[in-house]
This record gives sequence, C-alpha cells and structure tokens, in this order.
Amino acid sequence: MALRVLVGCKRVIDYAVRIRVKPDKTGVVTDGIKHSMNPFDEIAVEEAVRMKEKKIASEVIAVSCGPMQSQETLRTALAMGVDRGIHVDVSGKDYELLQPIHVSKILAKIAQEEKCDIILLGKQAIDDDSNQTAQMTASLLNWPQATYASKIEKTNGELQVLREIDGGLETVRVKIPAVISADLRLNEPRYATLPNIMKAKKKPIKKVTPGDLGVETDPRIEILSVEDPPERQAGIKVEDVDTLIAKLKEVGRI
Amino acid sequence: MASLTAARSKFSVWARGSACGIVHFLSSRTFCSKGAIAGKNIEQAVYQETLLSNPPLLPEIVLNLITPDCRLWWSKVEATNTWFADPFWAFCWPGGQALSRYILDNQKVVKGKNIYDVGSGSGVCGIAACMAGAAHVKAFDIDPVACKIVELNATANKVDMEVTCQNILQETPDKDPPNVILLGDMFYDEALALQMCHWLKCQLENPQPPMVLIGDPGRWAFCHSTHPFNFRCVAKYLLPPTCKEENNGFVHSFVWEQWESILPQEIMTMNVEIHHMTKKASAKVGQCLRQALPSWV
Repeated sequence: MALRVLVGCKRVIDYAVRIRVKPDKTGVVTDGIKHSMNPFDEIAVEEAVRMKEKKIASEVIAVSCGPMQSQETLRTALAMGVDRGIHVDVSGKDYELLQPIHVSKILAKIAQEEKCDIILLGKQAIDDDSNQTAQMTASLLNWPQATYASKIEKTNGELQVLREIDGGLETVRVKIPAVISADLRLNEPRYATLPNIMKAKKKPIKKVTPGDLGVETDPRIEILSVEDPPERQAGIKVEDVDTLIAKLKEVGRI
Repeated sequence: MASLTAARSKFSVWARGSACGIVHFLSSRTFCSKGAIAGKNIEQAVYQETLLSNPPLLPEIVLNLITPDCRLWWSKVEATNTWFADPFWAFCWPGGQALSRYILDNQKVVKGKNIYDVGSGSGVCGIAACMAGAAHVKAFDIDPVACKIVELNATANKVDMEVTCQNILQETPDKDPPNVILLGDMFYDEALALQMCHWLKCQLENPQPPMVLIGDPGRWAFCHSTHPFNFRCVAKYLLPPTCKEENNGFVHSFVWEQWESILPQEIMTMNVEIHHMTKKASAKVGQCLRQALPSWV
C-alpha cells in the first residue's frame, strides 16, 4: 500500500539573517528581511520526496500556515518534488499570535481531510524554537509519534525510526498512521534546480483559512516583551595568581 | 543554530550560482527586450543560451535545451524570463521523452498518419513522429517563442513539420482531422488539465475518433483529471539519473493510450493511479504491453 504523506513547511527568517528586536519590544523585525523555509522542514520535505521516489509514498502534500508569502515557501517544497501545496492563510495580527497548538490543529484537520497516512514535520522551527507541533499533532489525532528521527524505514505496514536522544540513539517502531519529526541527520536536502523551480510554478496550491478547517486561532499566550539577550560584560586581566585569588574573594566566588 | 552547516554550504553554492548568473546577464544584455524577442533575435538568444543536446531517453534526437552547462541553469528563474518568458521548451519533459521513445520504438503507431502534437514545447514528440514516418505532423503551442524553437529543433533533426501558435483547445481546425493526437506532459497544470480533458472528450466523440497517446510521469493533475477516460498503460520507462534530477519526485515515465472505441464515461470506471501500478492494478488497467528498461538499469 502506497502512503499519502503530509509535510509541514514554515516560512521563517533566514538562518543567516541577524535578528533585530523591534523598538517597541513587541517582536522582531520581519519587514524586508530575507525569509526561507525552516531548515528542519526542508529535511522533512526531502524525506517525504525520497519516500515518493522509493514508491513508499504515492503522494506528498505540503502545508504552510502564514501570510501570502508562505506560498513562496510552498513553491520551494514543490520544486523539491512535492506534488501539491495547501496554503493556510493567516496574516497580520493573527499570524503574529499563531502558536504551535493552532498549527497542530490545522495539520490534524488537513491530515484527516486529505486522508494522509504520515505527517512529517521539522522537529522545531528556528524562529520560535518551540518544538511542540509534531507532538501536539500526534496527540490531537491520537496517532503514534516518532520525534527527532535520523533514519526512517518502512517494514510491513510499520515504520522503524531511529531517534536521536540524549547520549545515543533509540530505535522505535510505530504503526501507520503516524507523526514523525525530522532531526538534522535524517538527510541532506537537495537543491531545487531551474527546471524544477519552473515546473513547480504550475503545481497546484489550494488556499484555505483556519475558519474553513473549523480551527479557532485565538491566542493562548500574551507576549509581554521581546528583548535582546543581555550584552556580555568585558572581563579584566590580572597580573598574577595572588591578584586573581584576591579578586575572586572580592566578588564572593571563593 | 550551530548545527546547520549542511544548510549553510547549500546556500553559499546557490549564492555563487546566482551571482555569476547576474554578471553574465548584464554583460549579455544587448539584444533582449522583455518577453518580446522575435525572429532573428530568438535564434541568436537560443544559440547563446542553450546547447544542442540529446534528451537522456532519446539519443537519436537533438534539441536546443538549457542544460547544467548553460549559465541560465544556475541563474534565477526571473533571469530566464527576461529572455524567453517561461521557457518550458528549454527542457525535455519526462512525459515528452517517454512518448517520443514509444513512438520511435513502435513506428507503426504513427506511420503514414496525420499527427497533432498538442502543447509541443520543444517539439520533441512531433519530431519523433516525423522520424517514425508520419505523413503529416502539425505542432501546436500557444507560446510564440516555443513555435520558433520547434522550427529550429525540426531543422536540427532534418525533419519537416508544420507549427502553429493557435490555441487548439479554443479553436480546433476542421480541415485534416488528426489520426493521432500526441500529448507529451500536458497535465502539469490543474486548470489546463481540465480544459484538456474536455477537449479530448469532444475529439473522441467524432465519428472517426483519433487515437490519443499521452506521456506523463504521474503528475497530480493527470491522476486526478483523467478518471472519465479509459486510458491503458502501454509503456513504462525508468528515468535516467540526469532526467530524475530535472524532475524531483519522479522515477518513471509512462505512456497511456485511450482504449479505441470506448468513449470516456462520466463516472469513474477505473482509478488510474499510476503509483499504485502494482501487478494487480496494471492487470486491471490493461496489460502493460511493454516495459522498456534502458541499459543503465
């Protein structure tokens, strides 16, 4: 049985951009800043496309929640070999307050509507570093989950997943349907070359809203303040060991 | 994210590619005018920006293609648009390659017949039909640049075919109806696929319906728009590595034929889902007449 795979791809500020906090401390500056697909989601997309090329998957659908520009992120996924995209339109203030719980509900609903067998997500996004979406999606659907995957193999209707855990690796078997989150070593994503990018322009992207899916996006948390990490204070140089001991005593370290 | 070195190296490669693209682009800007280059200029641009190359499945055919040896391959899509506006003809699509391979290996399908190559792109299917002995080949493509390219490609392969820019889906010629309609990778766009199905249905309702041959690697729009038809798979080709690289997500390309004398039905009679082409499914769809696996398998 060939499977249908749903893969999430979030549009985030490019990893190479220096992040600046807005003067009013309500968030970070995003206007005019280079965005790209969350690198962990790129790994998830690559894995889904490889599943399709190995004929494990029959169809790969990419989902992105966010403003209009999220469609560019979907196009990247389509150029990597995804069959079609779903853009869940969330913009303005709603997008600023969109949280993993909302995205999980959206993904769970789409997975049911599209009759997906596997949901593949990046383990976390490099902007908010929440690391919650895959786990909550699995919980909402009551599907098994295999997070931090560094290898995925299909064995008779089950998936054998090698997980990255503290101090080593763990092998788990999950029944399908399942939610999997991708860790860094799962694969190395391919470059989307010109012919792929061109052909991706013609692949279908369906636009829906959270409302269409019956998902409320009321914020569950309130952002009080976003601040830069404190700047590191300069140290001092001491002449000899005695001065060092004296200084340490002075600041109460010994 | 200290652990993102892999992603970083990727971006630097991409940046290098596009930077060098821009430099070339500025230096070779002399005769481009956005979306409207014509005649001699197209020839000159094609000469400068493409290479005469063999599509991987078709060593006997040469086409003007953008290959990894061309600068545009490494530039951004917008750079190609400045020259040609969506040069879909500059790549030999997997459906077109499979269909052309099938025609060249089964020449009787087109020999002595009147052929329409609809959405011809590079013109590869029409060229293959000419080589296989078709009586007359007419290529249709709504992109005027593509039409010019078809002429250039036909000349490069020493074949003679008619090319027209007319939108056949909107105005179908009454004269010389085709015996065979070739559709190489025409199901790449959802809306176009639906239009195409409607048009095909009209063609098949003619008193003397043409034979319809489709090349497609399993595109979503093909799998989801062609249910009313009784297509059977007549050939399956493994895509060579270079072709796979141009078509992420696809491994095979297929040739489909409309069952003669059976009109398309309104109700789905057979779920033509190529990925499920297991032995059982292919037996159901019709026997897979030919499974040509090239030597590199």
